[in-house]
Amino acid sequence: MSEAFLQGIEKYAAETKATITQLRKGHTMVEVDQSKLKTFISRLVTDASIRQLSTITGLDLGQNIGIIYHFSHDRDTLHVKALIPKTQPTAESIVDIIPGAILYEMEIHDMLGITFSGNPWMDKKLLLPDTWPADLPPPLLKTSKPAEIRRRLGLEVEKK
Amino acid sequence: MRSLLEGVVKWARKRSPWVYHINASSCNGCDIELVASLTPRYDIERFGAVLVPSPRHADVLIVTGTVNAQTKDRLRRVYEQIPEPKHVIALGACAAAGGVFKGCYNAGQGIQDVIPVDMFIPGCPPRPEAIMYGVLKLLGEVK
Repeated sequence: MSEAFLQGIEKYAAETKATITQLRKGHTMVEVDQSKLKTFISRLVTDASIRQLSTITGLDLGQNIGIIYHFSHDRDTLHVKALIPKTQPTAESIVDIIPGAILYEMEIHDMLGITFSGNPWMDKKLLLPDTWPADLPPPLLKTSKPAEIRRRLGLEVEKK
Repeated sequence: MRSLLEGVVKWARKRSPWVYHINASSCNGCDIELVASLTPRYDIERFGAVLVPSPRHADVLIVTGTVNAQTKDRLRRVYEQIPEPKHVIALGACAAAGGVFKGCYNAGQGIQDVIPVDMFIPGCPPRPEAIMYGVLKLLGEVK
């Protein structure tokens, strides 16, 4: 990652109290507080002109759910990570900054149950089946039980 | 006279099994091998097997991929649209037993939980030779 570019990131990171780690060559991880996440990303897009959001990944970390925004810029990749507490699984949508994030946010909503406020399609399903019961927990949480979900979806058949 | 006609129909059916293919959430591997068995190199059509675009014209249903909650009812509806007598081939490991998706929250344990199956062709994906062997063996079973 070029020096000038990294300096720009450092400036925004200082503004939002984020920590920067160099993972390996070309990969930079920025860990930012959940409340400052949208500010940081909007600074990236408008001021640093990093516009290509590759994807958003989510992971179950026990107490929290981590969401990582992966940005591509030339040959470099910038990972922006925020922790969302499981007790209040909501995050701010970045659809108004990056419209293409709408499907990524829907996927995280389906699989890990985070509600993105501001995403107009949050009431729709992307990957889950139409017959998904509303009271089932999101399938990719560590606490969810695949056999129980299969039974509720009618995929477990009693063997004679 | 009637038995003679029935004999002719049976003879004709054995020599022209029309095939309808449905993908019940397959990864496309088995589908490519099924298409390969229709190409001039293997040419399953010399045994009369033709891929038809509608289940209402089909004698044999070939299913690839494991069933999930989204395809379960659709697979059953397609099966019910095929006129009698009908035969079902489960193509590949996923259709037979769930394959690599077995144990996932949204994957069944094979299509035999949803519709009756006459023939399982194993493999991930099965080779075109295996598909042809399976189809011909099924025709041999047709009474």
